[in-house]
Amino acid sequence: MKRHKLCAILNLSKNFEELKPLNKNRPVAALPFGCRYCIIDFMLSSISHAGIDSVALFIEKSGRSIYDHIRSAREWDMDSAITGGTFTFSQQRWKHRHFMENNHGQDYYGDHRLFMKKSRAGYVVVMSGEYVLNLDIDAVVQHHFTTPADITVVYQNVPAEQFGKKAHLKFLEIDEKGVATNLKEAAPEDKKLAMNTEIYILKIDTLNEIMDRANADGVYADVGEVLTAYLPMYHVNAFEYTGYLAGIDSVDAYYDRNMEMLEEAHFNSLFHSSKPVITRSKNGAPTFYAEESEVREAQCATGCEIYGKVYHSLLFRDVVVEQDAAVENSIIFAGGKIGRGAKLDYVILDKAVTVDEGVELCGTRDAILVVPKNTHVTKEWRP
Amino acid sequence: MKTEIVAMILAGGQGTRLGKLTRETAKPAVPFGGRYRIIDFTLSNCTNSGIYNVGVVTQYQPLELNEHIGNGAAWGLDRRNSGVKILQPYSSADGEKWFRGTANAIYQNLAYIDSQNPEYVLILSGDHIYKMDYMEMLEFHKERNPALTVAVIPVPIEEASRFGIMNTDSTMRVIEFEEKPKEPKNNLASMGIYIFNWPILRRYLVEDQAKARQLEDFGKHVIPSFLKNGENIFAYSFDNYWKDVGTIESLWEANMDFINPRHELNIRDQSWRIYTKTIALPPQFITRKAKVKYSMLVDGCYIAGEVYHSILSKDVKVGEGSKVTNSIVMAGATIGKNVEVAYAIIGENAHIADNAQVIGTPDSIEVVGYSEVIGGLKDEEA
Repeated sequence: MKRHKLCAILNLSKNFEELKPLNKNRPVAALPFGCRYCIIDFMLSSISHAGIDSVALFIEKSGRSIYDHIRSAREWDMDSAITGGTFTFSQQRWKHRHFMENNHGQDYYGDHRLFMKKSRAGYVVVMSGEYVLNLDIDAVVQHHFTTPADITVVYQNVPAEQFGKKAHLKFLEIDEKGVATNLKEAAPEDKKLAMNTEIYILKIDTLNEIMDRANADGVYADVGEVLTAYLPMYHVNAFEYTGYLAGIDSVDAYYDRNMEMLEEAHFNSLFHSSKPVITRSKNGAPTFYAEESEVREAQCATGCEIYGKVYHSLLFRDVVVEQDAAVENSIIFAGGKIGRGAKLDYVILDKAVTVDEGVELCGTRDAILVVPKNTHVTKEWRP
Repeated sequence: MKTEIVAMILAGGQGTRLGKLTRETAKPAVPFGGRYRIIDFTLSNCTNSGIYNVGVVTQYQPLELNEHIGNGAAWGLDRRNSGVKILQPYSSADGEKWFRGTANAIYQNLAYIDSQNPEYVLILSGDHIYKMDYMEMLEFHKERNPALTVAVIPVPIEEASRFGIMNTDSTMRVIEFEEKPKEPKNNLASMGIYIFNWPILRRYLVEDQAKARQLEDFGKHVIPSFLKNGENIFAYSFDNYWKDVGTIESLWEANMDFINPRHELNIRDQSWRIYTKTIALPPQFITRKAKVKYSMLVDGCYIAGEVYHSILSKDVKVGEGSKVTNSIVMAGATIGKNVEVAYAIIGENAHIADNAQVIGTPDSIEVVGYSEVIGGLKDEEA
């Protein structure tokens, strides 16, 4: 065991009702983001840049979409023949039910313990799968060693009105020494609150101890939630993350956070830090912009062919926008085909959606229209 | 272990006529079509043909090429018992051994080919842009079983005197080979793609080394020697897109043609994909003020100006008020504000400072070298 070596646990088991239908058959972390990335890329990249090569993924249901994307995780340098690797633990919901029915009273956290033991690390970083960020984990580790505590938690200051709006968000109370506890109630005069990003760094021994307590208390949940619940029993230091952070917990958040990539400040803070975001490349042909195309305020991945108009929109890989079609304020996932003369405004087309010639699909700023994966949108189609 | 076929890609060429573009890199490593390098086409053809034993013979300025090919993973050539091997000249007890020609390069890598123990050797050049199923050529070869099959492409008869021409009989048997004939009798030009029965080629090369040491080049020496000794040679006719981008103008022209979405190479064909080594970069960013027409762009581009009839490679920046027309901009190049670029090739990581101009003509393409900086001083002085 190398004392300062880290391993990582990603909790991808959270799900959000408000993300429907985008999260049908895929965990939040498998959602595409920023034209060519998957949400998990941002976490894996942060982990990779910190030299971590052992990662455990805990997934609520099927892990197919995640496996398909990360494969051997070569791009993130996690496929060394000697150590490390990505270890997936899918069907957590089913395992939970099975445990409650059959194994109640035994160790619920055996997978976590085995993974951490085999990683030969001394420390573990725990992250939650719904965040888009570009975190310098080395800096958090540095902070953890220079201001000793049992646990270091990463937070970001956010406007106070978010408290209450989203019940799943957790906030921290941080004193002048940087010691954090869970926030019980926000004071009315608070303008900013310290949102817990559920990113934790701690000794593996400490996490094992917390899991022991959880077993004893009959708490069987993902380790992120467990850590949040047991924070009050430990000395916790807080690390402020000031970079780009987007929690993807609803269709609106998904839309807004993608669209804000068209603002250069956000785009640069996420993509042009010293730590580039790594993803799997798919050898797409260059994107073709036709003579008659009109593309403004847009981002495109490779493999697209654009003959029509694209304004204030994001196109993922291999999207075709035919002549006289107009795509505005929209997000088109990979493989979308927009027929001649079709009009799209405030829509999200999930993967491989075909829109027939002349079809008009309009959502509004307040009600984004989401078209599910593989849909063939004809003139008769209704959401 | 017996291998049916080994491909040897000759990638040592300098490509002198590409001027600044090959001063510090070999011709096969020259960028093409926005995200590719010339050798990607040959390497992808090997993978797509199911040929996984590939030797890449390098010599001239190999750094960039080695870096690009790496362990071959980008082409699926990082396999357990096969894959890509980069073969460079080496010295030995017999002294230094620079490759003296195409055939000599094969002779000097006898040890690699022997280690694969193939029945056939496929000789390729890393300089050409085309899509070809080498297995179809191998089938042709196996049906006739000559000592050598040469791939040929019909060229316009008036241009035939620029090529090595194969004169064939009605069964496509080669009866005569003429290098750049003044009065061509035929229009079937050699593509520099050969399938040899390895034991025969091996015997010729080894015996020659013991004697005259004349078999340095396939076209000049090996083919005439085969014909003289009555070895069977067949011509395999290929008539799809094939381009040798040997000069600045032909490189520019081939790129401009490539923009056309109906281009013969059909780069979007999923059944014959062209692979390349890539690093992940953010999406193409087209700002509110930008205009992009009849152009091809790849990842990492940031366009605030105007781009017409051009190919931009990864991580290219075009500042506000700038105009790029009929040009190729290679990876990492930055074009400042109010710049005009026309009929030009801008090398990798070049920088065109604000208000500068790089303007060529269709007959004389302006080239800015790799990492070259144009303009900028005047502004500082003023």
